[in-house]
Amino acid sequence: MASTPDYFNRKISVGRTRPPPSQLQISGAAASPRTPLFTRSTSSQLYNSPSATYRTDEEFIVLEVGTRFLRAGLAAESSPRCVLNFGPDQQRRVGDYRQWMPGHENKRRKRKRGESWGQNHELWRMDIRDQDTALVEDKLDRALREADQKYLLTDNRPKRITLVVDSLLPRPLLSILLSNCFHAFAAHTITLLPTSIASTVSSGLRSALVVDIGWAETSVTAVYEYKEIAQKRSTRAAKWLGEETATLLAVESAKASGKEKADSTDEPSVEETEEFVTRLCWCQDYATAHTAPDESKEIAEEDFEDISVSVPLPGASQTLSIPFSSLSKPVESTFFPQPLITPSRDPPASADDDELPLPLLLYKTLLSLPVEVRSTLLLRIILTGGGSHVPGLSSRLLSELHALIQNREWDIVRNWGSAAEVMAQKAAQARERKAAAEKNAERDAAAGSTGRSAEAESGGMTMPPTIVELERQLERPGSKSRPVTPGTLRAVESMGPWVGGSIFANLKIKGVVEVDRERFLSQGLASAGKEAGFAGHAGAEKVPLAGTRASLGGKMEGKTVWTLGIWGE
Amino acid sequence: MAQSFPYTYYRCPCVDTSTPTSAVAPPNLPSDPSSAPVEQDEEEGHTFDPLSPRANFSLFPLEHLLYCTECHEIRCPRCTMEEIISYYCPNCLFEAGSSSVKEHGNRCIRNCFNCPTCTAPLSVNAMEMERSNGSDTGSSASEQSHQYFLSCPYCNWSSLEIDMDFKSPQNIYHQFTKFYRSQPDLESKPSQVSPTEAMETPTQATTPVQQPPTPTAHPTDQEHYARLTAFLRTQISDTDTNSYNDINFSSPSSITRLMHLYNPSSKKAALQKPALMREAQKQNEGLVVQDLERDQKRIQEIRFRGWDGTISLSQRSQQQHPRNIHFDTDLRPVPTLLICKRSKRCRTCRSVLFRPESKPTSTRFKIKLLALEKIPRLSLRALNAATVPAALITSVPSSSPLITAAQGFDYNALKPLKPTLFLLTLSNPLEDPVKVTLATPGVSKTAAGVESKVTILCPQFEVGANTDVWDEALNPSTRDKEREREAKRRSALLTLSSGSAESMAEAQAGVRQAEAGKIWSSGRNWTSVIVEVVPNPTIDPSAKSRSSKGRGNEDDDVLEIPVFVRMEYEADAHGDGDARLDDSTSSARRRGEKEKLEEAFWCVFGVGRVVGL
Ligand SMILES: [Zn+2]
Ligand SMILES: [Zn+2]
Ligand SMILES: [Zn+2]
Ligand SMILES: [Zn+2]
Repeated sequence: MASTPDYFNRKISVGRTRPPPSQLQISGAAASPRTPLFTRSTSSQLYNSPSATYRTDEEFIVLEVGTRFLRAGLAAESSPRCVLNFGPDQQRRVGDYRQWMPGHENKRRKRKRGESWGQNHELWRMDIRDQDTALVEDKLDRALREADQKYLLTDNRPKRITLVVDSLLPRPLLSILLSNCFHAFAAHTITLLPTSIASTVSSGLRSALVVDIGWAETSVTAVYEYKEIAQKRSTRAAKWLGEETATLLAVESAKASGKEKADSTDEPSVEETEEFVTRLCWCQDYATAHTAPDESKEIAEEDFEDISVSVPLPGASQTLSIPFSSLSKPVESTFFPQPLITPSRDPPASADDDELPLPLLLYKTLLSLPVEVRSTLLLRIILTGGGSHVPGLSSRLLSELHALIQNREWDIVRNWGSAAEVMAQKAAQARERKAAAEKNAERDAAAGSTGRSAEAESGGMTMPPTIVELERQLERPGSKSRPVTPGTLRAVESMGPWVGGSIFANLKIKGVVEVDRERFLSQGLASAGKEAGFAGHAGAEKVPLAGTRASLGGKMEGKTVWTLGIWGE
Repeated sequence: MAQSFPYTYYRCPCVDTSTPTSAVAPPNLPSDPSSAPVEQDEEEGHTFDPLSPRANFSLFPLEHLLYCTECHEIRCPRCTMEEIISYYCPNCLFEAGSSSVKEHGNRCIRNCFNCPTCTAPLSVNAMEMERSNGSDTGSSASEQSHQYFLSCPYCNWSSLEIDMDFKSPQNIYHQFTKFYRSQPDLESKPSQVSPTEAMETPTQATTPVQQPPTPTAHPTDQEHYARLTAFLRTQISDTDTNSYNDINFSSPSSITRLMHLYNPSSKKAALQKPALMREAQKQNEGLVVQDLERDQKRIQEIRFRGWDGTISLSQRSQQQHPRNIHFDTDLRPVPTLLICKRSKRCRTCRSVLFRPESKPTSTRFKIKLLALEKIPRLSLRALNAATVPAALITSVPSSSPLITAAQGFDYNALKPLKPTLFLLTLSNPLEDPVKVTLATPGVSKTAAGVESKVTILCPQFEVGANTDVWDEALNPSTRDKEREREAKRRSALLTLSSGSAESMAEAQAGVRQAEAGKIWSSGRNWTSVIVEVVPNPTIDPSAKSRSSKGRGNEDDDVLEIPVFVRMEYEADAHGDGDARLDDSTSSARRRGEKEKLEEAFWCVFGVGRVVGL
């Protein structure tokens, strides 16, 4: 390794905006071989049969920790041994067996006041203010112990952990995570691997546009040659989808019991909502979603004749019967919101920067990339994360993105202008109003019309000015437009971040960020080399951990410097 | 409530001292005051709040706790370390070797499977074959041929539903793993496609790229994984094996280098240089282009099959390979997870606290230092419903309103504003008498914010030693003591019953005066005191701001009382737990070599539910 890669030095600002591509020197980096992220370690037994690649005296544990789930397993296995959640049933006292009692799932737990929807199911929030970090630790400790004692059954051989975790995890949480992993498994080294890169690894690719539809956030990360080079995030993610779905179910439940308005007894629990989402939610295709309601009625084939699907929620007093077409509504309003137009209401809600609809999020991420990287990534789109399993979502996303590219080309000058601020202010209120509007629409539908007309009203069948068009209105007159490069898109399947970590550990690839137990426990994250912050600061003397085994043995700690890589703020 | 009222939880103090982060040097966290934990430190003076979400992680039933006789402290699962002694299948009790455990992912490799829909153990059933299989096996047709399948005695799921049957009733696991291992193209080396032609020509998004038809349409998870790792492995081994430290296979100029690599003449040169890897480009290399048609088919299937055709989250989580499954036809039987026998050590001093015999069938222990044997057991009962010793009941006039009024006490309906008396009984497992001091915050709240006044009428008392029953009978001094206690108890009762014979309100006042500072009753190694609880419906305003005011949540109305227990006792000087087991202990004790010991901990009584607001 001649020089330190940008990967080490890149600074991630707290506001979660990435430096502009020019600072990242992507084009420059592309020309020279300088990315030591995936260098191999020096084990001499590398290439034996799959399970024999280990030094028998070491155990390789792979953990993926997200907001909702812990996935734990051993390297070289194709699935994690367990997926544990951090839900309320995991927070019970020892000896409290009520979750195993018959009828437990029929009881609906109500959300506590002041808690956001599903908050009791989260391990942590990215916003660490007002967060009891000790509680995070309690939850994590319990989950790690369960994973070990029930599924991994590790013995007292030395252990290494590959920890797959979001690259924007705040440092206090990272510190807690590391200390708990060291504590639970007595590992001597932990290798950190960013989620997006792990997803890329498990797709077989080296560069990809990773769309991770997580719980609290959807992140779109441009990975180029196993480096994160750009990232944008939106809060339109699984949690939002859950809330939209819960609203739909509450309205349907009220409808079924002949009530005007949904009350708290109609509100499904988080568990019920998730069950519903994973079982029945689906996503319309592009053509259907963008057809006016009248037309769509005509083109509706018999194949798509709307049928009712019965939904026996465990906590509901009765089985709901919901038109199949309605089951796609939550996905529509979460990921592909189309502004509603009603004369009595304010101009349609537009997305502020935290709430970009997915196609726009992808588009803007791509837009920030140099042309050659962009064209590479267009053929390598990966969808991962809990929210990505909705059937039809990936094809819809590709189609929407394609339409966006056709419409707008790759015009870098186009921006949101000063109107963006105004819109950002309005977005919060608008979102509430929109939710109310949807309820109204559905209630209207309930009053007499069929499910299909309900879909027409709230499902965005009409053609209001789309966000694209809105942006076009904001477009500055003097903007240049480039020649059209017809977008060609391809989605590639990834086996997910955990599997990426498994492969990574199995092939004995060394990570950039390796944390040594003794040093971490004695000095905490403070022992990480002061990250250079800006390119150029870190010289070759910082590199050794990436390429040598020096940092593994525990003998040379004094000499080596470890850094937090992209986790260092 | 899983635990029926009233219940007692004990708090392990390790949360304050031995959390993983507290083991890390302090400067790791930015000192952001706003992110500081709510409970800063819980020294003895500080109140422990059983409502705090963290409390759930430090409270245990006494039976779940161990006790380290070296550290003289309670040990919970969190402050012990575990070591595996043996692995075995909970279903067939077969003990597994550790290498086999690793290889088979910690699953029973005999015939044990769990039902994918309801998790009950599956049974192996034989099915008579109608037609003769003789021609297939080459054996005579007279040989009876059977097919075997797994079925669930509980929910009637059968492996035949997913077309899974077995040739033999033995070694089902082996047959099971073969069932899904079909990787025809794995053995052949991944073809060396030149990078230039490898890139498939993508088409428009609206007509998404389809993988050219391959014999195996969509790879299973395991296939996908196997292909990709095989590909990456060959990539690594095709590149250099010596200079790995310099290997940099992530260079974008990989294409030219790769060309070198596949050109035999330049192989040597390639070995000298950092070698490079390319990405997977074909399905048999582990690249799977998303099949968007398949997605649309899935939507139709959901529409067609509805809720019942899809699998639940809990079923999914049981599956070994839960990715990409959606319908009940995707479910597979789950080989039974092995469990372990483990020994437990103290995390602080590493001494063994618990060691079972290794045989799966044995339930005996070599070492077992239960907290039960070292920590007094505290229990709470409503005064009337309490397991009042028979002697006590006879001594109280049957007309006593305290006894009759509350027959069949309902812990799930504590009335607000009505004082309720509870008996707090502390029984001493030690061979020494202990002095006990109880403290309670005075006001306990339910999650809904209903405050209750809690008064322990006699917070300081002594509890007798847990001596042998015969010892007690034979030893005149203890007998005397016992008699003395009995007398005290009677006099207390008399005061109480005479007080309560008058009007009810006066009775309560009388009870409080009469009982303050006096124990209610005591026995050989137990003492009971009275606790008065008055639920007060005034809602604490701070409860709202703490956002704990829920709307009819399951445990909102549960009243729990935290009590801080401090006990002092004198044990013999070399008072190790092991030494206690010796016969010499009692003699050592008599010699009077005593050592003052102290034990302090929080416990929480679940009293009941407050109603009638
Ligand atoms: Zn403990
Ligand atoms: Zn078995
Ligand atoms: Zn079953
Ligand atoms: Zn100890």
